[in-house]
Amino acid sequence: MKQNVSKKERLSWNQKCILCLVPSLLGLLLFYIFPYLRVLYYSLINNQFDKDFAGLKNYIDAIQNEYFRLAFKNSIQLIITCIPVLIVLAILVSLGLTFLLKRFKMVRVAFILPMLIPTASVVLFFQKVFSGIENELPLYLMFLWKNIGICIILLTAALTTIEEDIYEAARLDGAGGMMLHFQITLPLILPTISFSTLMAIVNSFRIFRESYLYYGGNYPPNYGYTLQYYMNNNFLKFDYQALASSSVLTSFLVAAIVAVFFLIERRYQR
Amino acid sequence: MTHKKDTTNKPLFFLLLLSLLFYGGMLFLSAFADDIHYARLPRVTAETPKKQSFSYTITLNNGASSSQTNLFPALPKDMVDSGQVFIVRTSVQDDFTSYYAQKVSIVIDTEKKNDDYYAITDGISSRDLVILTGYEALSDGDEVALLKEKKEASKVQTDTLFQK
Amino acid sequence: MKHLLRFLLYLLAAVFFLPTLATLLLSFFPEGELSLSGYDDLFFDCFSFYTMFWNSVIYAYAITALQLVVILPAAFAFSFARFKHKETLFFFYIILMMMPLQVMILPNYIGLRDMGILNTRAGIILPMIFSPFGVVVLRQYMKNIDASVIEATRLETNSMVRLLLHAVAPQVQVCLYAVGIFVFAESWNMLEQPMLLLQDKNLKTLTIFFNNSTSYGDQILYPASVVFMIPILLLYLFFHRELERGLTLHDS
Repeated sequence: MKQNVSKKERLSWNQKCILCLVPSLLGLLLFYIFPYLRVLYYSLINNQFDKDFAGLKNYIDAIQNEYFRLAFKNSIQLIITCIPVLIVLAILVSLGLTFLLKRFKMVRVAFILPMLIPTASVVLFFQKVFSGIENELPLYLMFLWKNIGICIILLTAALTTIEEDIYEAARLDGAGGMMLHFQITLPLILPTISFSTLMAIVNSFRIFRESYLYYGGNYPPNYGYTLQYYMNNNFLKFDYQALASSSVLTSFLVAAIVAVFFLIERRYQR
Repeated sequence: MTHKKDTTNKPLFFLLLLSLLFYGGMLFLSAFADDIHYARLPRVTAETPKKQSFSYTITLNNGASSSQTNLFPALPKDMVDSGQVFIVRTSVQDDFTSYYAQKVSIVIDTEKKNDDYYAITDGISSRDLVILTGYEALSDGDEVALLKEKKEASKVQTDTLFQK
Repeated sequence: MKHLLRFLLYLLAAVFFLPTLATLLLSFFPEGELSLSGYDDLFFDCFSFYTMFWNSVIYAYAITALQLVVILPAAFAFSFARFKHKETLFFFYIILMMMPLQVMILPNYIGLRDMGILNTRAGIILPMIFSPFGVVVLRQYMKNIDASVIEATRLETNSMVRLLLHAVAPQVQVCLYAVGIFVFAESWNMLEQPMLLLQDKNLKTLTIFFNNSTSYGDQILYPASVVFMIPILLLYLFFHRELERGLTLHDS
C-alpha cells in the first residue's frame, strides 16, 4: 500500500514493480498498439484525402476482391494441409527421440537447426531441387522444415516430464507398444500439442518470407500468393484502404484462432 | 538448478576462438577487400590512338604512281597481329569507377606502309582509349586497373591506380 | 521393430540436415569443381556484401541486447506486481505476439516517418526491441522463480536495478539466453523491415542481398549463404543447451 512520506515521495514495492513495465509498455503502445488503431482508422475511411467515414465499405471491397480471396484461400489451405502433417510428424519424431534414442541427443539438432538457419541461406537449395515443380509443394516443405523445430522442443520437453511409473502401471495392466502411447502419452501431453499447433498456425501466417525469397518478387504464381502479398502490394501501391481492411481482417482471423485455442484449453482443464 | 556450464571450458574457448576468427576475418576483409581486388587486376595503360606517318603510293591521272607520306591513325603491328585489341570501357556505379577491357575488331589499310604500325580505317574512334600495354592476357570484359603514368617501367609498381 | 524405427528417425534427421549441408558443400563446388573461386568472387568482387553484413550484425546484436534489457523488468512486473487488468494486458501481449508483420507494417511506416526516423537504423531497431514475444516467454518462465531470493535482496537494497540484476536475472538466465537466440535469429532473418522501411542502400541488410539474387550467379550465392549462416550457428553452438531448456517451462 502507498506510504505517504511527506518530505520524499517514496514508491511502494508494488509501484516500483509496476514501473518496471513502463519501458515495454511504452514501446508496445508506440510501435504496436497505436499503429494498429491507426490501421483500424484507415480501414473505416474512404481515402486518405477526404477522410470521410466509410463504414464497412472497405471490408466489403476486400472480401469481394478476387486477389484477397485467392490469398485467403491459400492461407487457409496452408493451415489445413500443413499443420496436421506438421503436428503428426512432430509427435512421431518427439516420441522417437524420447523413447528410442535416449542416448543420442545429437539427432535433435537436425530438427532444431532449421528453426534458426536463415531462410535466405537455404532458399537457393530449395529453388534448385524443386525447380521444375509448379505447385505449392516446395513452399509447404519449407514450412515443415522450418517449423518442426519449435514443436519438437515443446513436445520432447513435455514428454520428459511424464513419469515412468505411469507406464509401469499400464504395462502391468496389459497394455503394450503403440497402444500404450495412444492411450496414455498423448492425452497427457495434449496441452502441449495444442500449444504447438497454435504456434504452428501463427507461424503459417509468416510464410511470406519464404515465399518472397523463393519466388523472388512481389507477384508469385497463384499458389504462392498469400495474404501478406496482398497487404504488401497494396502498401506499395499506396492503396491504404485495401491494406488496412485486409490487415484488420487478417488480425481478426488470427485473434479468432487464438481465442478458439484458449477456449478449448479452458474446457479441457475442467 | 543444475549447473549449466561444462566442467571443462575447452569447448567454450574453442567457440570463442572460432567467433573471433570469423568476425575478425570479416573485419579484415571489409577493410582490405577492395585494395586486394585492385591489386589483382591486370595493369594496363591506354591512350587515344596517335597518328603515325605512313607511306603509300597513289596513281596520278596520267598513270604514273607517286609515293606520298601522311599521318593516319595507327596501332602497333604486334598488337594488331596478336588480335588483342581492346578499348577501355568506363562504368560508374555509386561512387565507384571501374574500367573494363572491350575487345574490338579493326580494319587496317594494307596500302599504307609503316615499319611498326598499321593504319586503321575502321573499328575505333579517335576518342577511344586503346590499351597499349598489358593486353597480352586479357579477355573481353575483364576488369582492368588503368594506370595513369606511362613514363618509366620502374614507376609502374608505385603508380596511382584510379581510386574509387 | 525398434531398430527399423530408429533407422527411420536417423534417415529423417539426415533429410532435415540436407538443405544446410548441401548449401555448405555446394559453396565449394562452383561450376562442378572443387575450388574456392566462389568465395573468391564473393569476397573480392562483391563490395556491397560487407556493408550489408555489418548492418545485419549491428541490427541483430543491438535488437537482441536491448530487447533483453526491456523484457526483464517487464516480465518481472507481470510476475510480481499487482494491478487491475494485469491478465487482460498480458492477453493483449499474447495476441500482439501472434500478429503477422504485414498488419503492422503500414502504420509502422507512417509512425516512423512522423518520428523522423524512417530511413535510419533506429527505425529498424526500435520497433523490434518492443516485440511482445520476449515478455510472454520470460514471464511464463518466471512463474517458477524462487521468491525468497527476491525477498532477501529487497532487505539489502532499495534499488530495483540491483534486484533485477542480482536476484532475478541469474535465476532466469537460461530463458534469457533462449529468448536471446530466438530474437537474434528473427532479427538476423529480417526481410520486410529493411525492404520497406529503408531506402538508403548503405543501411540494408544481408537478406536484401539474397533478394537481388538474379544479379549474382550461383557461385557467389552459395558461399554467401554459408557466410550468412555462420553467426547464428556460432550462437547456437554457444547456447544450445539453454535454448532447449529455456523454452520448455512454458505452458499456455
